[in-house]
Amino acid sequence: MAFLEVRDLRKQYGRKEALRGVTFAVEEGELFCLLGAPGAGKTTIFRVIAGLDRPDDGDILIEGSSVLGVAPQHRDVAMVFEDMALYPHMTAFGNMAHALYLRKLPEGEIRERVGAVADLLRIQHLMDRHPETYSGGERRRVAVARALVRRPRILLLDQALSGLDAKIRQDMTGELKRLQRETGQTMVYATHDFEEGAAMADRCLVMRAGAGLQLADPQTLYASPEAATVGRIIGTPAMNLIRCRAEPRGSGTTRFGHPDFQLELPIAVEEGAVLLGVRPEHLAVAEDRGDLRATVDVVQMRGPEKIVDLRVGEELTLKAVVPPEQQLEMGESVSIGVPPELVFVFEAESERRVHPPV
Amino acid sequence: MSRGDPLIRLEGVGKTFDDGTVAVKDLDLEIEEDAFVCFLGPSGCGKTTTLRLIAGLENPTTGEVFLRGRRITDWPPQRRGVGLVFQNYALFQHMTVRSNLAFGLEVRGTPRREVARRVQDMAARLDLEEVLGVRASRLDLSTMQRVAVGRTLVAEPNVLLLDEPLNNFQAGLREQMRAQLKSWQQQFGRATIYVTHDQEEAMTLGDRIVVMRDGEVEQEGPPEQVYGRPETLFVAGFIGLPPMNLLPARLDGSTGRVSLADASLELEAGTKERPSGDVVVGVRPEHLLPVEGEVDGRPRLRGVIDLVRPMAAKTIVDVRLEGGTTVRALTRGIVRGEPGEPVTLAFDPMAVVLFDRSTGLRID
Repeated sequence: MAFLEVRDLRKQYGRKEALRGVTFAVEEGELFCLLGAPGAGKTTIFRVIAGLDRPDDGDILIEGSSVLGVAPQHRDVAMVFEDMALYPHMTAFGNMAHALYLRKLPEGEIRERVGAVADLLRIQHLMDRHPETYSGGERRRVAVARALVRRPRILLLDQALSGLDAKIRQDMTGELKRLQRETGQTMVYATHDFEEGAAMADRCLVMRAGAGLQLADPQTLYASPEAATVGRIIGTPAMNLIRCRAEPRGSGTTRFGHPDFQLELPIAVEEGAVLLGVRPEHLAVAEDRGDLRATVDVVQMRGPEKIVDLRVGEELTLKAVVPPEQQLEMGESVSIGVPPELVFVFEAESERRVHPPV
Repeated sequence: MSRGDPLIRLEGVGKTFDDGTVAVKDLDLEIEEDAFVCFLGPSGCGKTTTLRLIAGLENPTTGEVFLRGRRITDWPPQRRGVGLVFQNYALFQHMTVRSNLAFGLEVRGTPRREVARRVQDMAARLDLEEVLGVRASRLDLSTMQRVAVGRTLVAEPNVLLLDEPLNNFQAGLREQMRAQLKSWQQQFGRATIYVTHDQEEAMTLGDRIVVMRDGEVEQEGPPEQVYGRPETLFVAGFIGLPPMNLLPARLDGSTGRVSLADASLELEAGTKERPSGDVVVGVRPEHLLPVEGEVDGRPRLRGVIDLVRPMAAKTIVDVRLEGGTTVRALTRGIVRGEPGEPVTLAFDPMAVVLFDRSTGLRID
């Protein structure tokens, strides 16, 4: 039996279908991630789990029993939002201890619980300070700490790290993951940033327009995306997706036709409009002997790698990742090698993967 | 103007504010024509003040500012021909995009036909033709940015000055706008100075990076150099994500050997005639490679896995060394290790950078 079960959840706001039948299950002690662009339905799911919204259809089960009839305050679910307000007139200790005093826990236990969580999140130095003196990262830590001391059955984190600097975000993904491991707290984390989700989560559900697209561990989502959107969301820079026409040429080869190029690859795909997907890190950029000719546009240094925009013909720009020592000048003519074993093909209309077969 | 003079030169420029705050100390800096230069540093490092000194919005307490060899220290901003883009863009909200683009030229009394021609040309180049009649208040953030940049470029400034212009953008859009800015700069060939606290932004945008700290330049150079050959411990720790691993060690000057305090390891430093002393060994996360068994005799660190974070094509692995320090490795592909598992990290001794622990300076 799963700890949290979300069954075929549907929700409509006016004419907008916010959720169109979402199903997933989270194990006890798991860090589960909902991954999707703004508007995919992540926050709506959280609101339904927390009891702030009723679904039109479907069910939410915690430890095997439906909680739809249970009032929010009795569900034992805590939620942390991106723009979470702390009590401005209270210190970090006050903010964290507040809910525990309301529950009339003994003073000793309150101090012990707050102290332990403050240690884990490294916020001891804030215990006597008020929120207006915190940095952005410290504010988020205290918000998470305040939810965590309650030891809820489920902790929902909605974009809890967005808006923070990249460095702080990277540090905090590490901290949250360690924290989750050490406390065994069941968490669901919603984000549009794959690196954030993947860095922490055991499994992710990729969502789009109120529906789940693929549920898997982060490595599988990267290596085997089942829908074009999964390719778009996972990986930086995002997967190159080229709208073109597939024409089978017999004996397992297919020609991909685009106004800017023709490319024949030894893979079998049915005739039709497709999205040819290839990751920037899988394109081989060299002087010659490639599959496509291109002109170097913008080159961006990233430290361990460079990101290059490559113009193929009039319309198409592809992104490639190359080693930092590879010298490329803007305007230079290069060739691009497309490795057939690392190519994904999605049907253009449904955006479902057709090659390799799912 | 004589040939060979840089576009802008700062000579011994210092700025102390009335309240006694020293914002910039004795700064020497040259900006070449066509360069894209990023001023990078934490808040309070003096980067914005330096930009304002170049723009003429602040007067230096000491030193001189030159434009193509001419001393302009006392010139007011409008005479310097600098184009400043503010963080909030400061567009005229009630005016159309066309009027916003034309405003500066009209104020300067540019002939009407010339104004119309230049506005049309700028709109075409920045893809603003469709919104020329739209009020600025109705634009989305990325269009506002294009208008703000266009309005500045249309005056054909000597140098474009940008102060953290992408702060208001969310992550995905921010990267798009970055690529956009870079391609405009290459297209317009205009010298650009860009102020940011974000090292990734500076690395991706700049041809040159000026790393600042406490009002002084820590290091200046192309991104590859600042990244690969940091001159100080501060630069090593500030640039790169995840940041460079910095491990305390001891240099034996007579043998040239370096022993890490935290792992049973020795490596040939290749330094000649150095006094023995405390040093810091810097190694980038992407140069630490998880290996199995004995491979090619490269130096290695032993520890246990603390945390594994997959990042699409890469994985960040935190490893706790025998001595207790944690190092971070960034590897291509997938690492399926569990916390607590022993792991060995090999690295190329050529990729190591050494620093003197007391001065914080790199040892060659």
